[in-house]
Amino acid sequence: MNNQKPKKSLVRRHDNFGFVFLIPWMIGFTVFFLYPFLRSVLLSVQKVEFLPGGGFSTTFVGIENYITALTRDEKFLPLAAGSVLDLFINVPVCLVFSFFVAVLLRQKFFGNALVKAVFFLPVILGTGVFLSVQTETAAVSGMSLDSAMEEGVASLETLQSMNILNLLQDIGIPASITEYIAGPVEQIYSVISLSGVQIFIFLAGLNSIPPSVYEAAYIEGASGWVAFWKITFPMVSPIIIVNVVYSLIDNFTMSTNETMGYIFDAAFSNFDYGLSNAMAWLYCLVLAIFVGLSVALISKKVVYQS
Amino acid sequence: MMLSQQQRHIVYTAQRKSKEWGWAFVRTIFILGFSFVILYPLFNMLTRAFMEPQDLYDSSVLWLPRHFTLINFEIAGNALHYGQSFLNSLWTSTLATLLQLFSCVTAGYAFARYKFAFRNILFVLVLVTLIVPPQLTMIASYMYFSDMSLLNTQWPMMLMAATGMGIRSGLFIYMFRQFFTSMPKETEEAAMVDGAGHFRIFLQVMLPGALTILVTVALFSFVWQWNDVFFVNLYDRSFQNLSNSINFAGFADYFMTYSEYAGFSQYDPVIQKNFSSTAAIMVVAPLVLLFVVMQRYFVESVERSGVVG
Repeated sequence: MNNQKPKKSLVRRHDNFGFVFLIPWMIGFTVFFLYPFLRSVLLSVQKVEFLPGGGFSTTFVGIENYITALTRDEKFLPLAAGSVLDLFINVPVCLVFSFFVAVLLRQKFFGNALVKAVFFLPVILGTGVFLSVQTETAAVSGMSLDSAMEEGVASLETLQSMNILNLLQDIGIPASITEYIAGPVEQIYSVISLSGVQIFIFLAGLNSIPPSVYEAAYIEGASGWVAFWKITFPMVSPIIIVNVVYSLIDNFTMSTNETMGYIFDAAFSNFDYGLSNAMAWLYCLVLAIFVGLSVALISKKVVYQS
Repeated sequence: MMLSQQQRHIVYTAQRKSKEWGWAFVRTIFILGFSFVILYPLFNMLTRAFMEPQDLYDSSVLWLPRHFTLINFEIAGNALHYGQSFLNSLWTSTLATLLQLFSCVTAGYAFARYKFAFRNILFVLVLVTLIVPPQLTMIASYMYFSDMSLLNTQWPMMLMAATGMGIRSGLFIYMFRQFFTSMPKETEEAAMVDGAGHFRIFLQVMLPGALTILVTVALFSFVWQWNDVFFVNLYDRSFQNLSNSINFAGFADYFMTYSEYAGFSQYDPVIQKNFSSTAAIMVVAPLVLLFVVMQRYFVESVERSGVVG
């Protein structure tokens, strides 16, 4: 024991040097995250008034802002409900799609590097500027984002999916379900542009599976199908959580999300800071519930490597 | 009918081969289809950008412009104030990228190589900064920077980038941590035995080995900074950079001031859309160029950055 004591403190001194490297982040966290975070809690229960000479005065109003957001504001609840509904369509579709594409891209074929580069383009183009121009111009001319594409592609796709739609409806499947199936087909362009980062996260996960595992399985006589469900799928299951969380947040906060736009306008067009903050908190609470639920549900099935 | 062993082998290989070829065929169809959906709208935007207004309405004009023109680029360039906006975008994105690299690489390194007190709690807080949407704290941050009278400058962006609170900094810290965790302990120990200090080990042993991940994060950071609409709108609304100029009110109608478009002077969505998409091409063109140059590096290192939960 006596021998170990000085050694331990030396190690500890070494380890605590890590704080020196962490100084910039710790400053940033307290000043630019923790402080605004706490202040936004406070603001959501306050009424902010602008003083004529500039600056603000705040008065405590309790949960009035929350009541206004939930009962008196007629636009917030429908918009938020719409965003949540979109989530149920977008997130599963993005996950399945990006996983499928990642499996495709991992295989060796001619022009693999080029195809990866092509699939990476939406990551560059799918954010901010490009997307906002596309939606803006589409909205201006009264078209949806996807019909903003060349008419040829659009009409071809709607034609096909309309046929499938009719077929399914003919055999008596309710319209809500057929639309759920047909939606992603019609919006394949936005599905692809929403899945850019997820594809590469899955690809990284797939590449981290040691090839020796597959070799062993094939020697034992496993087919490709079995190998996929018994090796590939369990091994990337931790990545699925990462991707679910990423997709949820991305869908909830992207610049084209209407609820986020409404919250932004409440603050910077109507100058109701308290109300805007209360709405942001309600909205993020819903997001937090979704993130928590999906992580809890999926992590039961997740297989962790050693 | 009994088959000899050789015949059975032939049948077996033929079956396997046909299965492989079948899958290769299906895969090719999927990949070509998806690539088409990604590339075709871009290609279409690009060729239409070189068309004169009458070509846009001429249904016999497919892909190749009949009346080739650069007028769309000229108008969009003028509306964007391209020279000035480009330079502004360039210096802010570059500076923010460098600052963000500095703050994230040091934080990621600390989390990976030192077992200091509260390490796990602090790392969870890094993930919290990643998960909490910036929209939640935007008003509080806005009022805060307003109190410090730093609004309408680039200071808020730069300060946040320098302290690990920039755009998606949490993700970058996570990526750096994953990378540095995978580095062997022996190199560090050898350098320590040779008498190298903490900073020397970091700068001369660890950083040179981390070049790939540094480039990857730098490119991500640069791209997101360049495309950012949200923060620049929040803190510096009148700043003249590319992402701000394209969202400027009245931008979409700028083409009407040109005599070439006099015949289309009334509100015209087709022309307006073509004009806006030409401008969008001009905004992202530098990024696409950058990406083409770094393409192999970028894609490979993203794959290997080891985002493993």
